[in-house]
Amino acid sequence: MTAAPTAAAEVEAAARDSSTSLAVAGITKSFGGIQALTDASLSVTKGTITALIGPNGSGKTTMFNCITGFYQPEQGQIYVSGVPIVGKRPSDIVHLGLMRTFQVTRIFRRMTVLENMIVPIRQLTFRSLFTAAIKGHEQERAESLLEFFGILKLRDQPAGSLSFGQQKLLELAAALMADPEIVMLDEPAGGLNPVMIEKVADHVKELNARGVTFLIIEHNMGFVMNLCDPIIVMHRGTVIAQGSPGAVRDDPIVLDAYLGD
Amino acid sequence: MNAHLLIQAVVLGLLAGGVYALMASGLTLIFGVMRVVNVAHAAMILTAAYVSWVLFTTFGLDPIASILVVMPAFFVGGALGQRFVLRHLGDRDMTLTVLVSFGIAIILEGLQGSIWSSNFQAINTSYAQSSFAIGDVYVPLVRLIAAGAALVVLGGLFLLLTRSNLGRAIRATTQDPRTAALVGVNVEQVTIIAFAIGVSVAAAGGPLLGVLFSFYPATQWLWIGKLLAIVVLGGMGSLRGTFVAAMILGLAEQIAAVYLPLDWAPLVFLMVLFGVLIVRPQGLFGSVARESL
Amino acid sequence: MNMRKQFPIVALALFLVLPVFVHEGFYLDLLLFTFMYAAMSVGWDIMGGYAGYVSLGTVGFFGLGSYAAGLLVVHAGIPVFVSAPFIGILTGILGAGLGWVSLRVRGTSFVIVTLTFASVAQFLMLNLRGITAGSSGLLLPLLNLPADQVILPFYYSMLALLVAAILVSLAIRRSKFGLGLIAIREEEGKADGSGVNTSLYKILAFAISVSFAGAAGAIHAQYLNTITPDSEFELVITLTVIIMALVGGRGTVWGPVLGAFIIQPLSVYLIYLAPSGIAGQLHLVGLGVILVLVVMFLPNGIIPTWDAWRNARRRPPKVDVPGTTLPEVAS
Repeated sequence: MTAAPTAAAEVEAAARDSSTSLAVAGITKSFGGIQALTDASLSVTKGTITALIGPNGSGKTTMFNCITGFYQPEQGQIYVSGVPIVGKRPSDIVHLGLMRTFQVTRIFRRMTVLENMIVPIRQLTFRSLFTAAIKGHEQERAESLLEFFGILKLRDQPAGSLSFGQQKLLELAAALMADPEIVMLDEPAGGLNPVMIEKVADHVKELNARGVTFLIIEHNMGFVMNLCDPIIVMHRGTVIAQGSPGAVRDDPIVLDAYLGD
Repeated sequence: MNAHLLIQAVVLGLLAGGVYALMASGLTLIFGVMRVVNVAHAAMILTAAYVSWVLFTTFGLDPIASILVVMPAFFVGGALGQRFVLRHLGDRDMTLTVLVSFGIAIILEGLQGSIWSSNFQAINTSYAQSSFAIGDVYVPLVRLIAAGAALVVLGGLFLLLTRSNLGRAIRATTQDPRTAALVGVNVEQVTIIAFAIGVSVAAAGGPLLGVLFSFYPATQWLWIGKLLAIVVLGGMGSLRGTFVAAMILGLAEQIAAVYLPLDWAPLVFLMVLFGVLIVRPQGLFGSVARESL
Repeated sequence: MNMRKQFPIVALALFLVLPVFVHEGFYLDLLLFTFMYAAMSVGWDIMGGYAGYVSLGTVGFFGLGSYAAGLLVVHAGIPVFVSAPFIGILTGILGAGLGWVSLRVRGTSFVIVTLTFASVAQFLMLNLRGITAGSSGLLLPLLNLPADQVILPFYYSMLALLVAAILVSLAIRRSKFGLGLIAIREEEGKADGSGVNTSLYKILAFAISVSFAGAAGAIHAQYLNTITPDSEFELVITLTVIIMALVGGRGTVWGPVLGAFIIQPLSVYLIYLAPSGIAGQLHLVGLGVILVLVVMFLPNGIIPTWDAWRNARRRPPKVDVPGTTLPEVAS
C-alpha cells in the first residue's frame, strides 16, 4: 500500500465531508525570504489519532500555526469541520472545536492550576463572561479533568511552580476544557521520561475512544508508531507521504527525506 | 486655488519635513532596538532646546553650532541612562519601560519649568527674520539652514547605519535580536549604543526646534504626538519610512495651513495617525506586526 | 482574612458619617479628591493591571467628561449629579471606539493612541472656542446651597463613584471575564488560543475602565465652577492615577485605593512645601521621581509584594506526582 500524499484539489473536494475533521488545501507560507510551506495539503479523518512527522525544518509547527490562526497563509485554504478558517483569529477557531498545545509549554504561570483550567472558552455568551469564574459545572469539569491526568492535588498551586511534566499534563488538561472535537498536540512526549510518555499515550487513547480526534507532531517514533494511524510526513515545507505506519515506514521517499538531510 | 500659495506651502513643508525627520529618527531607532516607545523623546528634544537657548543667551553660541555640543552630551547621558536604568526593566515588562519613559518626560518637564519658567521661549538669532526670494517664493533663511543642518545629521546617521559594522549590528538587532545574537552580535551593548544614538540625534533636533518654533515645557506633548504620527506612518523601526513620512506630513501640515485656520494644523498629524492605525497599522515601510507565539 | 473583608466596610461607614463631625473644608476637600483619584485609579487598573495594557490617556476622558457636564449645565440646565452616570457611559463608548482603533493589534498602538488622544482632546476644547469658550474657560452656575454645606454633594458623589468603581472591579476580578483579562496579561497569544477573544475583551475592559474618569470629570466641573482646558486636561492627573495604582498594587482591587490614600496627601503636601513660584513644576518633578522609583524598585506595588512575602513564609508542601521525576521548574 503506497503512502501517497493528497493533492490540494482532492482535499478541497472532501473538506466538507462529515468524516473530515480538518482539511488543509495547498497552503503556502513564507517569512522574509524563507519559504516555510509550499503548496502543503493534508486531511485528518474524524476519530483518528493522526501523526505529523518530518525532519527538523520541514514546516510542521508552521503548519500548526497556520491551522490555529496564528499565521495567515499566503495561499490556500484550511477547513475545520468544513468551515474555512483562513483569516479568522485563533479564538474563533477554538470556538469551532479545535485546540492545541505548544511545543514549549505555554501556561499562565502566575495563575493557579485550577485557574488555568477555567480560562479556555468554547462559546462566548454574556452569561459565561460575567458569572463567577470558579464555580459549579465548570469547576467540577476542571477538577475531574485534573483528576484524569493525576494532578488534582496541585489545583491551588501557581502553575509556574509545577515540574515540566506536570505542566505538560496541565496544558493538555486545559486544552480539553473547551470540549474540543480536534486536539492538536505539538511534541507531547518531548522532555518526558518513559513512564510519563506511556501515561500521555494512554490518556490520548482513552480520549480518542470517547470521540476526540488528534493530530500530533512528534519526533519520538516509538510513540508515533504505537499510537497513530495514519501518519503524515512533511519535508521542506510540503507533505510527501500519508498512510498507515507500515506503509510510511517502508516508503523510500520518507526514508530519503530523513536520511538525506 | 492660488498656485503661488501652494508652491510656497510645498517649499515650507519640505523644509519643515527635514527637521521633523531628524526629530523623529531617534524615536524610530530606539523603537527598533528596544521595541519600546520613548514617550520622553520630545522632552529630550526640548531639554536640548533649552540648553541651546542657555548657550545662546549666555555665550552667544549659535544654535546650529550648539548641535555639536548637545549631541555628544546627550549621547553620554543616554548611554548611562540605558546602562543603569532602562536595561534592568526590559527583562520584565515592556509596559514598565514605557512608564519609566513617561516618568522621565514628566521629570524633564518639571525641571525645565522650574529652572527656566513655563513662559514661551524661542531662540532668536540674528538671521531669524531674514529670508530670500526665489521667484515668487519666500524662503526664510533660518528654515533653510535648519533643514540643511537636519539633513547633515540625518546623512551622518544614514551612513552610520548602512556603512559601518555598528550600523549592521543595529539593523540586525532591529530585525531579530535572537538571530542577531546567534551571529555574534552583542545585543546588550548594541542596544545601549543605539539608544544613546537615538537620544543624541533627538538632541540635535533641539536647537533646530528652538530657532524655528516657540516652545515651553508642556509643548512636549504636542510634539510627541506629531513625532508618533510620523513614526507610525513611516513604520516603526524604519528610518527610511520615518524620512518619507516626515516629508509627507510636513507637506500636509503646510498645505492644510493654507486652507484651515493656523491653529488646526496639528490635527492633520493626529488624523493621519488614527487613519494609519485603522487601515494599515504597520505603516508604509514597517513589517506586519510579528506574531509572537 | 476576616480583617480584610471587614475593614473596607468599617471605613465606608466612617467616611459616610465623617462630615457630621468634621466641618473643615480642607479635610473634606482632601478626602473628596482622594475618593476621586481612587475611583479613577481603580478604573485605570482594570485595563492597566488586569489586562496589562497601560493607558496614558486618562485625563483625556476626564477632561471631556468635565466639559460635557459643564456644557449640559450651562446650555440645558442639567445638574452634573444627574448627568454624571450618563457621561460615564458615553465616555465608555468613546473608549470602546478608541479601543477599536488601537487594540485589535498587539503592541504599542495602545500607548500611542491613548497618549495622543489626551493631547487631541485638550486641543479640541481649546480651539473649539465657539462651544467651549477656549482658554477663558467655561463658567458654571454655583450650587444653591449654604456655604458650609456646599461641599457635601461633591463629597458623597465622589464617595459613591469610588464605591461603584470598587464593586465593578470586584465583580470583574471574580468573573470569567476578569480571568480572561489576566490571561491576556500573562500570555496573550495563549489566551487567544484558548478561545479568549482578546480584542473584544480588551476593548470592553478599556471602555469600563475610562467610564469612571469621565464621570469623575463631570462632578469635578461643578466643583471647580470654572473649567479651562488647562485645568481639566492637566497631565498630572494621568500621572497621579497611574502612580496610585502602581504604589498600591497593579492588578488588585484594593491596591489603587490604598495607593490613593497614600499618594494624595503626599501630593498635596508636596505642593504645600514647594516654593510658590515653581510649586507646580516641582510637584511634577516629585511625582515623576516617585513613578520612576516605584517602577524600578517596587514594580508590583505594596499589596502584591506584601502578599508574596507572606506566602513565602508559609510555603505549602510540594506535592509529588509519580512519573514526573524531572527537576522542578523555578517559579
